[in-house]
Amino acid sequence: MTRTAAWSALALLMSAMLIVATGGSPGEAMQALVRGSVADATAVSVTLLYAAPLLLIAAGACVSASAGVFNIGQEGQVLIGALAGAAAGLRLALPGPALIAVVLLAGALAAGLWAWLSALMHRLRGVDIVVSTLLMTFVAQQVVALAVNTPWLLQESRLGRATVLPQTNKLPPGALLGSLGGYPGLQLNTGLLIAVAAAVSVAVLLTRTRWGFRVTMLGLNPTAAAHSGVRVTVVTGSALAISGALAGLAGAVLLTSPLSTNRLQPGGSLGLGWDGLLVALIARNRPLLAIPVALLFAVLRSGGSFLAATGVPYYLADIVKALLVLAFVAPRARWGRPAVA
Amino acid sequence: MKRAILAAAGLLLLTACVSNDATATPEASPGDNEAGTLPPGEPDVNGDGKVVIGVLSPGDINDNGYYESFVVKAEAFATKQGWQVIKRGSVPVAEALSAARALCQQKVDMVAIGATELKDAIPASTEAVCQKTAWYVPSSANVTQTPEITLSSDDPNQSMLVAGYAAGLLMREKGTTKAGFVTGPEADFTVVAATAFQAGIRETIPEATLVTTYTGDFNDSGKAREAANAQISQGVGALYPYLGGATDAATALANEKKLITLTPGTDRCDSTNPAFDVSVLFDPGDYFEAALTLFAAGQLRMGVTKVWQLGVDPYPTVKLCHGTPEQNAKLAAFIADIGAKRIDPAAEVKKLGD
Repeated sequence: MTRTAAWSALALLMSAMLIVATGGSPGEAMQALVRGSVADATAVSVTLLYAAPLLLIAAGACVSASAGVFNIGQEGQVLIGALAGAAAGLRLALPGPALIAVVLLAGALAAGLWAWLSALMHRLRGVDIVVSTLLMTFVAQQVVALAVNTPWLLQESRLGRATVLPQTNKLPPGALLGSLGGYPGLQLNTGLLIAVAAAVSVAVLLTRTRWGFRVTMLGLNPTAAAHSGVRVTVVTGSALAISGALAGLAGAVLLTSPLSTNRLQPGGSLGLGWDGLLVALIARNRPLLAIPVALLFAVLRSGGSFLAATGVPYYLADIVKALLVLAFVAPRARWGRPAVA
Repeated sequence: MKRAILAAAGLLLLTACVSNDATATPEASPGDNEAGTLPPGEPDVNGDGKVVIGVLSPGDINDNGYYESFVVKAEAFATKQGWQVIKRGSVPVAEALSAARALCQQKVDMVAIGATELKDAIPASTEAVCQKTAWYVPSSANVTQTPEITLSSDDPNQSMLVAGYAAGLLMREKGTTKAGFVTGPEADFTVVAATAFQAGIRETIPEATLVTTYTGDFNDSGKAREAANAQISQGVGALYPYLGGATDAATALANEKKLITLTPGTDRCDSTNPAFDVSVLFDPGDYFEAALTLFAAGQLRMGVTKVWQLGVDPYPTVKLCHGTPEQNAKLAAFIADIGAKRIDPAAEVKKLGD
């Protein structure tokens, strides 16, 4: 704990030095981060909106990591979830509440299936899951690009002389997540409630159910788990599918949240897939611990938008995040030999 | 359980798919006031005693070209006026709305969007958080006018047709009939630009051909060089890097092969590394500077569109960096004919662009 605090302090010190090196003031940058993330109701709302998809992705990563499966394809799974959600939202003529439910469900199912493909490849051809989940991200990016560039798929409709961009139409109001409170006041979006519920459910699932016990046993010692009768292929596949489904749900939540433009666009995942994975890493794969960590990452996201005013490049927020992750991971490593996976 | 699943699937089938167009939502209406409205207190629109301009750009704001120009001109003007500029480059299109809201939260007096790709930021202009904010939006993609924004528009057919004409003059002198066009994503506006550029070349060389490559990214220098290399191996005599941050990388390669090169928006006739033969000026920074001048004078109206006409306004225009007097005269005459409407660029592009 003390070592983690020391490494975190070092990360913050390095961040401050970087800010100075780019011509900014660490004090002003910190003020900007606070103003953009927690200073008023609007800022807090934006932070909470970012926290929801981050938490969902992290909760999913906790499931696969507990089973000893390192799924690093969340970025692609978020995109696939958003794609399926957009297709459902734009193409199905369902009444309001049913439509949003179908959008979220479609996102989760599609991305769950997408992630499960990696388990299938591992089962059939022995393809490494880390490699396949990562590579499937690039496939997902191309699938989304194809969908939003093809008029008969999901590309936005041409209205009059307007130039058509590579994106879908906006989702109808019935396909958007509702909120308690309204922008610019404090806004509590349903997406956050879903995310917290998902994190709690994952925690319960992993610690209080037979399936969770099998997952944990598999993660700790696959050989012992197999000898105890755990069906390794089934548990691995289901853990990966649940992990992907939660990332896909995050994509659908992002798509339907007030945070986004409510249309599918290339790069619409905003890199949240990678960030969500880092959240799980810092939370050491504990779903409940992921809640405050997701909030911290959301603070960096929303506050990062205000950094530009201080003359500090926006991307510095990403560097700070990376340094913090290293600070949390480094204490577990022993000098001279790598950390135990 | 099985019945419930079947019922759900049946429900989905019964609802049937709707067409994509059924979900197309028309943009907000422009409002009734054609003369537009002046934001009270302009330029200190929010009345906090200082003037802050917020700039969002989808591209690299250090690209030595189109995107950078927008920010550089804004900063130069703002410095003279004692204003502050908050700039953010490489804003993902999916984050346009939240980035614009963040600017409004920082109490900017004007939100300026660097390119139409970020048009999804515009709905923020009607939200309470942006109530005391003026909006400037360049509109090459025909963004719908709303009462809260001022639009700045030009016709890409005009500048790209003339760019092609200028390139054609130099290609004829060099004895080449094949040109290359390297750009980013295959989007409407890049396709329109390539088509008009080809039509322009054919104004002087009817048998000319154009090789077009869409790299998918305006800023990826590696892809741009790869595309330029492929075009060079196909024997192009001129290369138009219609790019953002990758412009210089592709142009440098073209310089090595002594190809005719053109700028994507800014005047870089003075540049030697890389060097350009034609400056095609549709610089968003120039348009924005004109709007800021009006803003400083309290005369920039919201709800109106300024359309920049080639041959009428100072911009857009095209100039040969090292043209002979004869070439310069021909180019000037062509531009004047467009300004006087003796040449219809749209008709010319339709006739010669395919």
